[in-house]
Amino acid sequence: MENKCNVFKMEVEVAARRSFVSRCIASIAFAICELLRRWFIWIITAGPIPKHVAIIMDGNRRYAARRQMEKTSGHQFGYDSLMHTLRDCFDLGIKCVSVYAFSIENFKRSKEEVATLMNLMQEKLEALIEKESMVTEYGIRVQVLGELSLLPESVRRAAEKAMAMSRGNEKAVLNIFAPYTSTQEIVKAVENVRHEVLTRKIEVHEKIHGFHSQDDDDGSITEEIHGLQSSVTEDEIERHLYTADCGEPQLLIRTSGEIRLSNFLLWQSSFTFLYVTPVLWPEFSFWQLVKAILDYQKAYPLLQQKKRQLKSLISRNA
Amino acid sequence: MDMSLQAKNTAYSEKLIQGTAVRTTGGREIWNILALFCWHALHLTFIVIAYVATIINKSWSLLFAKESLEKSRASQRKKPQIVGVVIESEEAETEMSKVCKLLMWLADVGVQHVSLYDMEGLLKQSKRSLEKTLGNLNTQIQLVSTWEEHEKWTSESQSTEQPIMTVELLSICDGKEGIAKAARYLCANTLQKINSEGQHIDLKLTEADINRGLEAAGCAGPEPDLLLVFGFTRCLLGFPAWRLPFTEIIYMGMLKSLTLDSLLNAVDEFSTKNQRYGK
Repeated sequence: MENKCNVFKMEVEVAARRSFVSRCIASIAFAICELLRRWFIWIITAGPIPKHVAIIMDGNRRYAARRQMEKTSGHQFGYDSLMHTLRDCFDLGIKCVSVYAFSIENFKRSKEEVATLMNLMQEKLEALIEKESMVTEYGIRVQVLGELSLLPESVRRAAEKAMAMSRGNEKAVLNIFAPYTSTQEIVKAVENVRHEVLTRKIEVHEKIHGFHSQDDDDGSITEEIHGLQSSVTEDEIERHLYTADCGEPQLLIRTSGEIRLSNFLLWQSSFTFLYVTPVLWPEFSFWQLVKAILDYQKAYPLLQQKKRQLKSLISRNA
Repeated sequence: MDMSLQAKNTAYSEKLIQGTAVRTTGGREIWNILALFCWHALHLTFIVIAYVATIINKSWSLLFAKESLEKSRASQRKKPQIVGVVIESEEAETEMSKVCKLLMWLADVGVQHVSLYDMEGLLKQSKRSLEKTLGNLNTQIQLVSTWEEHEKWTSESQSTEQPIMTVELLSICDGKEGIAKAARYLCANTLQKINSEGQHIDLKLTEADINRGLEAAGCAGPEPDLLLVFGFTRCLLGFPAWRLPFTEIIYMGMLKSLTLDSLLNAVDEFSTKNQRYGK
């Protein structure tokens, strides 16, 4: 850490020693970049823009290893990359961004790494409320989703605070999935559906037969299933998932070249456009995002057609 | 007199406001048309770049064919045992012979089980004819309807010492609908338990419970090592999601243009990937 500080100081000194001309050139270059960015955003928003984008941020450790740094320090770069990507996404008019920050599976990593990740998460969640720069600027509602009970006490408190502070924001949504796996989410949703249905059933039962009459055991399993047909449905399970209010993502981005869902939004991404880039997450820039959205726009008409087919299929079956 | 003048005045000012409104929307429209033009130009350039890139890639691989030989040697390390295949229903209808070819190639690679998926279930409907064509081709491929049947077949094939590849046909109703069915089964199960044993309903569920429910509903299946997606787009089209947590997904393009080479390339690609399972 100290080493890093020293490097930073040196960089500042070098920058201060720079001549006026080079500083001017740098600021002009920056302005041109910003202008180009605005221009591309203007062009791209002429086409269909996904409402909900999911991102699997892969490659932080590989990035650090490639730069011959300690593996865990890669996550800091990953965070920086996340911040500017979020800015780009909300500038493009994307309403909801879901990021896979930490998997339940990730607890298997070395204690050291888990600790650094947790510290980073706590620090950044607290910073989100303190400054409230981006969150208030864009009106973002922050949601930390997953098995929050698995998080350390301090991180969980930070998460709850961030969620409470941004609850009133309505312009955009940021879903941070940590610690999360999709299978766990589905299990939980089924569990909640079961709980709701059974409490309702027992209430009705008690109203008719009085308190706990155990005489009528005649309902066999098949009959019970028949009775549940209308109350336990696909839609009902969907309503109990974490993403109930944002719907399914239209675009899923995974960095560092591999296409696996890695147990992320399995249920929600069955009609999602999957975009993969070989770029590692800390290197992910605005231009990669542009490429992803251009690819999505190319596939858009076909995806719409598939969804229409699905709808007709469902209505035919029903 | 005064009133009418006032009315005239407001009408005039309203007209004025409307006029400016029309003018601004007109301006915005031109702006939008310009943006749309730029958008199309951008897409066109990207298509051209992608086209040129594929041509360069193809000629490159033709020039350096040696490399691919080395690759196939490397593939002997790790092979997919269970493969999922997603095809579009349109292609399932027209390219049935290609589907059979694909199955034969997969059997040659050494795959044990294939989960063949199309959204509308056209393959399920034409199961009979698929069976017939595969029978005519004299292959060791067996169509099964559930995963349990696969286990029966493999245990039989062990006795005859002939490797058999089983094929399971899936459609959209094996996906989310399957999980809903499993949930229904679990609900009914607990309800019965409550009735007979007076258990509390706040029992925790686990993944194993869902798997049990899926088995009871006839929608259970193995997690594929590799999922081959055919079609126009990189999209899973509703392939049973429960089975895909760590599956390697490879997009293959249209089924029509599939060759043995591209399939082997995909298998090679699979063998070079390493899974970390979150570690």
